[in-house]
Amino acid sequence: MQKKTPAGAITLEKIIKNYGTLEVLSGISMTIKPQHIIVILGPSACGKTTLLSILAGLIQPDSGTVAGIPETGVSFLFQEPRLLDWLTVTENLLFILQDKLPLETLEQTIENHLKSMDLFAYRNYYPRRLSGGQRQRVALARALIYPSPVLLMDEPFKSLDLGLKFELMQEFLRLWSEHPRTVICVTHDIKEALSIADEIYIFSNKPTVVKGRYRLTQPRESRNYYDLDLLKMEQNLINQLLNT
Amino acid sequence: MKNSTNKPKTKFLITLGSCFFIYLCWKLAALRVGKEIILPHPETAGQTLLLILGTKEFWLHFGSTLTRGLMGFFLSYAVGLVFGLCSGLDPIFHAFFRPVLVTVRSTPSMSLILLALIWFRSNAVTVFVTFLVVFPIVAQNITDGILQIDPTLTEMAHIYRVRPKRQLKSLYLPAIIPYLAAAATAGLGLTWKVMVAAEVLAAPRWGIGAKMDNARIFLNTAEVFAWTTVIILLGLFFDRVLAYLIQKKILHWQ
Repeated sequence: MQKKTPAGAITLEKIIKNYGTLEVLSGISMTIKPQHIIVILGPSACGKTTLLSILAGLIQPDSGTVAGIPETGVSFLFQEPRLLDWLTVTENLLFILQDKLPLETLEQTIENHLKSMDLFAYRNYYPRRLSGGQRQRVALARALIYPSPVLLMDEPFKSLDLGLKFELMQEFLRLWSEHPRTVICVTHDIKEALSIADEIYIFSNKPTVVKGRYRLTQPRESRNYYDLDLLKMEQNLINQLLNT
Repeated sequence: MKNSTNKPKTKFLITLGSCFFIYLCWKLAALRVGKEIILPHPETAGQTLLLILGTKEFWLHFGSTLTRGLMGFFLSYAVGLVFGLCSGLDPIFHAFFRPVLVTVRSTPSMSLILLALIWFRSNAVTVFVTFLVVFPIVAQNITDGILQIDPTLTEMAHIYRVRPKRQLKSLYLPAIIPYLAAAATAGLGLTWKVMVAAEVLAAPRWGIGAKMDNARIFLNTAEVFAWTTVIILLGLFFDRVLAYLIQKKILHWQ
């Protein structure tokens, strides 16, 4: 009997994906609540990015079902900015937005969004004139302006130094709290996971299945690195990852 | 530490020095040969050039070659662009089109000229041959350009469900601009060479190639050199114009 997906939720049921004889995903099942931030932790090459590619519609699973992906598709924040060098900041946003929003409001929407992210001064800049951190901020702006209730993130803060990483994470959380959406994030950084997640999934390696699941009930604003409960959870996560 | 060879003035002086070196080699060679009918002195070629520039006939010959050359080039570029895009975007088209491209590219220009002489009138011969020689270069450059596009960008466009028409206009075409530029530069350079060769054999009433062949018949070697200089300057002019357009108008975001 097929389970019904709650409205706005994303359900993955026994997802299997092979590349030739290599089994990458060995029956992943997850139910992601709407407007929750889910973080997936796991060792390298365990299939985390493959799962995101399936959710983004880039590849099809060999078996299993995915339910709840909206018709508009998903928004995606990549590890690298993936901006078009020959388009300005505004034009990069227009590139993905045209035909998705009414023409009359498009320009104003982009303007308001850039202002909310302190990027308005750079609206006519080409990406080559921006720093690495600014480019990733523009990529975040692009991901958040796209009208989808689902956002996928593949190690989005990996290439940034500590200060920029913290800044962009806070920016992301601020904007997400204003317009919550379902977020599925893949990362290696445990502290990053503990800072932003509602739920953390641990993937094992060969076979790649969901090995652990943690719910964080503490509000994000009150989470800090010295919190005992968070430190204990961090230790648990480290132990789990070392044993995958 | 500043590298002085990067300064524009230094580069200009080096280029000037190179031109003088070419002149010197030519002069020494002419002195060594000692017969102007074989190798005229640079001054003789220069004087002949000034003489022909002053004639009304010069502009008719120059204009005819220029018109036919540009016709052949633009036709080959337009068709090459379409074929190159289709070939780059569609693997089936690429597989089907590749043998055609290789065959046309490998066929000697002279074979094409001789066949065209049998099939067409002299004016059409030159345009036809230019088209066949330049078109494969343009098509191949553009195919290579499409295949070199950063796959992470096309993946981004796919995920964000950007429409194919917009992807073509705002992603594919701008991404292959360096290849479009290379195709234009290489194609245009080849156009004048092929055009003159075709005119020599096709002997149209007006054309630089026809005039060069005429000069050859009368052993007027200085005039051959003079017309050759005209073609070189024509090629240089378009090369500079293209470089300016590409840098200032197209690649301004770099």
